[in-house]
Amino acid sequence: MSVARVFAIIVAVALAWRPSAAGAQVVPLHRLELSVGAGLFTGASLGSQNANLRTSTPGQPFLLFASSSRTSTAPIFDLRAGVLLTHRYGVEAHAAYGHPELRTVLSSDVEGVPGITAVERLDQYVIDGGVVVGLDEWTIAGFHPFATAGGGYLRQLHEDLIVVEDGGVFYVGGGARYGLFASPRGFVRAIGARIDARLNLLKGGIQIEDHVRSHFSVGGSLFVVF
Amino acid sequence: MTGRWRGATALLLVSLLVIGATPAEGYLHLSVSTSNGTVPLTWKTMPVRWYATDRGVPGVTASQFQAEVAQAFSTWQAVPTASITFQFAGFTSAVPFDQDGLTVLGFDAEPDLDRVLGATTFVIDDVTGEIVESDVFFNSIFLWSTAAAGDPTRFDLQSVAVHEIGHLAGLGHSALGETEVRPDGGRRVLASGAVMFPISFGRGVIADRTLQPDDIAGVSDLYPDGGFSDQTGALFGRVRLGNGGVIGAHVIAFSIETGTLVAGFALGDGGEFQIKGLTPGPYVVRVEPLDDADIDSFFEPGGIDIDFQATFFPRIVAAPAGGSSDRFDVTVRPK
Repeated sequence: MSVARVFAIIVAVALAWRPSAAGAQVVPLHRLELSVGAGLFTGASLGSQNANLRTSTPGQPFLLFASSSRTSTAPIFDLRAGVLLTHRYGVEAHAAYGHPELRTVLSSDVEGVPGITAVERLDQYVIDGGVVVGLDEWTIAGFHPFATAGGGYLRQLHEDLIVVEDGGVFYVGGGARYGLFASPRGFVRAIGARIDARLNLLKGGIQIEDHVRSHFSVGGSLFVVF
Repeated sequence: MTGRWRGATALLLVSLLVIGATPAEGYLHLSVSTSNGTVPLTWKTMPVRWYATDRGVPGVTASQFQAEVAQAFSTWQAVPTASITFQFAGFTSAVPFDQDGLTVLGFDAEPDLDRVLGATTFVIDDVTGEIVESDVFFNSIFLWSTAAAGDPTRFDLQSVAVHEIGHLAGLGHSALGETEVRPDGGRRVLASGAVMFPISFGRGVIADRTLQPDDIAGVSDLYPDGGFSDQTGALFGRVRLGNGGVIGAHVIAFSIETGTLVAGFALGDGGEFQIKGLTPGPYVVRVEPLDDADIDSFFEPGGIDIDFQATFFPRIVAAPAGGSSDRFDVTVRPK
């Protein structure tokens, strides 16, 4: 299929599907919403760790070399399933998968070994759940905003996939849905697009310093309501 | 009968050099070549029963000596992932280094060994590698201390005892340390990451009363217990220079999560190494030539390559619980 033909089909669909009316809910009550999308999950510093040797003086370590580690920003693919329980509140479950890199900068070697950045690729899974609060009164140009918050499970696998590190995730965020299709009956009740932005607080997993790490994630997805 | 004692061999291990190096054998684990190949020296019967000599030296009575050495044995026995145990059997008038079937620790004057604080000898079954007797002497030409906080004019008895008992258990020397050469040709320790580093910190320092991760990994590998095999992991790789392996390269595994350092040597013909006893997680690997102690503190002379540059492996490698990493090659450059 040529690019021009694909483009023509997309234009035709866009013209045929009208956004739902401003202020009306994009997702019908008590119906299952499934979405699939992609986005970015930002990296964060994991902290520093020195390779220290003991000296004859307690409390005065000898630096063999220094290290500082972080995870990289990486694309993610995510899936969601949710149900709107009332006109304002819903619940949803979410799973995201990405391939960030773990990068450790090595420096200050006592024997002058040139500094490098040692790298490995991680497999990262986030499975979480939370509440969705509809903010339809703030609908603008067909975009129906919402706020989200929840928590879940973090699973990071090192490159050879045989070392697993577990942790937790808490998040707050929000986004907006844009309806592309709506029907009061039939198997498919609505189709649309949504954008999400989150502040993710990660605890555990690959961790150097015992602190909560902040990661932002943004993404877009297509949803279908059954 | 192919007796345990037939062909038994006494090995002299000289360690904890004060100023310079004296030939010694062994590396991380002491081993012996048998008809069945190279086997590590280990005790097969537990607890290991030991005697203390009934002689003191100025500043240290026989009972103080026994108490300090007993504490040093307890330090090794307390390693939760190792099964070796010890039992004090009594005082004796026997002297260290006699092949009398007794494992004896005590003071002895060895003026000729004027750079040696202590040494450990073994009587072994050279078929199985079983240690059947081991003696430790502490050189009484030096001044010794049992002071809790150390005495800046004397060597700390317990620290040296912990090192020598590491040998008694079957451990060789660790190269995890940094030294500088003194004008007289000896070496001064700047820092160390293992009690089993071959050169003492010096008078008044009690740091070696406490085992380091490298020591714990070594003794646990010899006498695995407490989930050591299931709960720790290993890194497996090769050190390569051109198309060949680098033999004797010192390989350091650094945990980027905890900061612990555990090291080993590339000893396979192809430069293979395996570093065991690692807490599961991600590691950085640094490879260096053996240049912070005399080579003969670790290996028999010959065959050790030190003409290459220290380097970091550019990948992070994960040590899995109960297993080993996939093999990886660390490529080094000639000096």
